[in-house]
Amino acid sequence: MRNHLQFWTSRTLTEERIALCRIGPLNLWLRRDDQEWGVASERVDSRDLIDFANVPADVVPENLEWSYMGFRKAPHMFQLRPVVPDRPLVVKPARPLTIPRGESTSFCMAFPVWIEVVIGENAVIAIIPTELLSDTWFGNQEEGELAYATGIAAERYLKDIDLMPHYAVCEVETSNTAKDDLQFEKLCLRTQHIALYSGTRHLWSSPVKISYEGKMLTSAVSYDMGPPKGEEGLKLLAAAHRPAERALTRLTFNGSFTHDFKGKQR
Amino acid sequence: MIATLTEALAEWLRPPETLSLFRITLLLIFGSLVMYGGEWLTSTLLTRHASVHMGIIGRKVVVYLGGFLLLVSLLLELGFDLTGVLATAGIATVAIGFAAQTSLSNLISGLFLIGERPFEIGDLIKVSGTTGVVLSIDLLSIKLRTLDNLFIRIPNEEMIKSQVTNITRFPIRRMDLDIGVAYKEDPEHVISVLQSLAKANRFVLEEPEALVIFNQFGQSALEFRFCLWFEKSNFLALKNSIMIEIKKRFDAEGIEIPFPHMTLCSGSETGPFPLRILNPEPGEK
Repeated sequence: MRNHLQFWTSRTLTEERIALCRIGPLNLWLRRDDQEWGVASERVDSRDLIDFANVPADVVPENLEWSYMGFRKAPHMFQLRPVVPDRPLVVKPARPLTIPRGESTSFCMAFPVWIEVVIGENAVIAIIPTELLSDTWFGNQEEGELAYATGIAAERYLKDIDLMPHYAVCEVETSNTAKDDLQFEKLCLRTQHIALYSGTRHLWSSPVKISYEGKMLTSAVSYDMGPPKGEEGLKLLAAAHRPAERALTRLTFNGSFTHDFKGKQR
Repeated sequence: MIATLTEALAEWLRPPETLSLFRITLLLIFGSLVMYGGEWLTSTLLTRHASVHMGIIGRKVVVYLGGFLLLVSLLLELGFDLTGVLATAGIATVAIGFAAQTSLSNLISGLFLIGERPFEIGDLIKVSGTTGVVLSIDLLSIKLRTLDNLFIRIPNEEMIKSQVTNITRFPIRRMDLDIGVAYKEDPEHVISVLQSLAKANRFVLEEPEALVIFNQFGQSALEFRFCLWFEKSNFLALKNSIMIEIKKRFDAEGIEIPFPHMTLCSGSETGPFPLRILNPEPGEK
């Protein structure tokens, strides 16, 4: 598929054909008859595909588990939309990164998106992860929250990330306004504040800014509402579920763990 | 018309017996309304601002107290003289106190449990060898539903005296698996395999990190402890999946999980005793 954006456009599905949508390791199968839509998925080893095809019914694997949704009159149009994972994401840098006091730096991180299958006007019949992410815990043994580990380390430069078509890239800008140098340990990304945009080769998310202000107390993490600067002409595909205010500090005072950004002073 | 109705009502209520009956009826209706209204309000407020079991306790206190006051009011309205009852209550209290020692102990233990809050309704706890989900925390006892769906009532006095383990108090737990491998295996290789299994299983939390501890040189095997952190609701999913994955991977890597066995030697200079089968079956040596 030449342009990543083409994958996310609306399509028609006739009753005699099956739609096969491939993005990353996810194969999505769709079928329709007069009063129902069916969807099935499987994961394969290949990770860099993104394409769509209408195929005959006899090529569909037999071991697929289909789920069906009934309609009085099944719409014939469908669209795939990218959505953010349903839990926060924990990201660590690829190698130890120290930010001197008074300095700021940026780095990139990537995460696999989920796919929302929308039928007709706005009927969502399935939401499926492109990759199954591992659980992780952001907090301590007594309190915290369940999150996903992306498994993709944050890098200083985008070219160092092995980008796949089902990844969304997030630009993170970090500034150290504290009195000491800062070693970045990990970041908890709140997916409900993130919007998704389509570029030519992969997705982008709205950017994140971190301002580290000092020892243990506050780390302001803010989620921008506009598109990132990494590529021109991005198209908004999914707005943030809950847009965050600009420069909003995400603070919790429940203990020493629940700061979304973890770093230590050197 | 209203004046006519009022006059008729006043005429009907003129006899003292009728008036008394009317007052008793009003007392019953309004007393019940106030009592149940108070019960609902107490339960709602306590549940919202404290906890579910505080709401249940509060509701019961309001019902018992309200019921007692209503009964006393009705008795007084019916003309009973309660002075004599109160006089004998003092003597009865002593007798009841002796008879109700256990109940009082349970009641006081229940108040301590309410104050300490070692567990809440819905928690999975283990006490005196019994594991179950807490159904209710009452003044005299707690009720559990075991995992095989049995109903267990445990007096509060026993709860206070026993060690109670709250399995679901914290959001994450650690699963410790004891794994033995044959002495011929390379311990570093075994540790590496187990660590990769932990990384690959999606129910194992990436943080806190999984641990592999080379525990001891056992009688029949090298013994390892494999410690995996998981979100508390994923216990069964993790237990089954990781055990299967360990077995499959050990088979694929040729890592032997030995049966318990013993080698007999007569001394340090000799080899193991040889074993010879007398009257072997056809085909055996």
